[in-house]
Amino acid sequence: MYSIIRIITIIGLLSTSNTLYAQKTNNNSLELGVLGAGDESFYYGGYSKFVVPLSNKTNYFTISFALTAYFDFKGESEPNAYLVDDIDMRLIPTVNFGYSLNFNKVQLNFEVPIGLSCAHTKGTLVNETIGFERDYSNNEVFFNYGFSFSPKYKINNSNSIGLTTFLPFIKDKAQSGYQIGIGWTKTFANNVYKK
Amino acid sequence: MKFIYLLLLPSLLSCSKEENLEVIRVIEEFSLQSNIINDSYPIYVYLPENYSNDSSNQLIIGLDGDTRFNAIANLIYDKTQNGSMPPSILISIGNNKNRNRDYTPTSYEHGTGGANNFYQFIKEELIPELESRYNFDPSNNKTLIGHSFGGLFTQYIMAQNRQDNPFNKFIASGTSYWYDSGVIFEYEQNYANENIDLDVTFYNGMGTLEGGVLLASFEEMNERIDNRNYPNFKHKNELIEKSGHTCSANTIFKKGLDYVFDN
Repeated sequence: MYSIIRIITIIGLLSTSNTLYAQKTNNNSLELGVLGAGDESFYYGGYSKFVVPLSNKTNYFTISFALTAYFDFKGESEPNAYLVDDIDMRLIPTVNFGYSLNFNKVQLNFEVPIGLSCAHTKGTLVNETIGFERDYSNNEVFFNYGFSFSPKYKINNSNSIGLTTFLPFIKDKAQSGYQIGIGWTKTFANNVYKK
Repeated sequence: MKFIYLLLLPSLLSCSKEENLEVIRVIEEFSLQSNIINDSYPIYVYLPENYSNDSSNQLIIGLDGDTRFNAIANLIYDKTQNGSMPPSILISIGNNKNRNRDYTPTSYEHGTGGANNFYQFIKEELIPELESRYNFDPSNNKTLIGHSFGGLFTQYIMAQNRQDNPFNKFIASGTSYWYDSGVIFEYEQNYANENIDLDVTFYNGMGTLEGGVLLASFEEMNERIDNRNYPNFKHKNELIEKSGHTCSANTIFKKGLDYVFDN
């Protein structure tokens, strides 16, 4: 527990100091998007990511804090055997260590997200053919890491659109699945400096 | 370039694909033509190191042989080496591409209901062929292992009459209880309506990340079958924690082999 707190503190200090240092050219950004995810089942959901550049170079390292949530509301329901009040979701908070390659209008982001995947499954199965109803629930938390690639197109100084992908490296992709999505990035540009 | 390989290495360890473990014992393979199904099947054979010419060898039949043979053969190798299993021959039936036909008991959206024909093929064509080639215990005490649709087929066979059923040990993994709105429950009910005992050993496993339909159906099936109070029925069910449909299979096979050969 203490080592986790220590790591989080170091990451916080590192990101804060580098944010201040990097304000002149590279700025923090917030990315929001929708995605599809899964391996054995298809899920859909959304993500948000706060990205902090770690230098003011053209190409620079980044640290970002991401939260992804995706859901499956149907499962393997059949017409006469279906789920009621069902939720099957993964909530995935990560810290991403990355590198951003910048060209004129294009930005290529490579990241290694490290964090958790929280699985939450709950609901009731109603089987009309056989004639039973049964509640179920399952909650589990897993370590999660992988590789992420996000190419973006810069619309202007403060807005970009792009793709996001995530390749999990954990063995069981049911814990945290492959992800692909589209997102919009708002960069908090320092307008005074730009002028 | 080496960095990219290092990044991609963990993804190559995914259990989504067949685990390519090397089996170091005797392996044979032949093709068997079925006149019942009018199709041919690759048959993968693992013979134990201590395979003998007497009939003390157990016969284990595994489904989805094209992809699951190596993993199960390695488990049997380990268990026979440490003495937790008797010498056992593993027969894995291939032709996985027709599993939707062969493993499903009814014709439905995702299958064509060929399970009864496939059962007749095993009883009337495969086992007699194996008897002509290998030495194993001829009594009706064989083991059947299946995953997913294979688990559905395994439980379908467990619900067939006992008089001429060659199996008395069953290992079902990630059974497709959703199939045809849970039609496997009807077969279980029909068996219970006509019988007062089920003299078999049954291990039933499921991953905790397999979703609501399977988790609830799994609990329902285990409760129903236990409540029959069959006097000679031995049963263990287990949820495999932090595991999805694919990755739970080998753990279930391992635990299942432990259970059915301990009881």
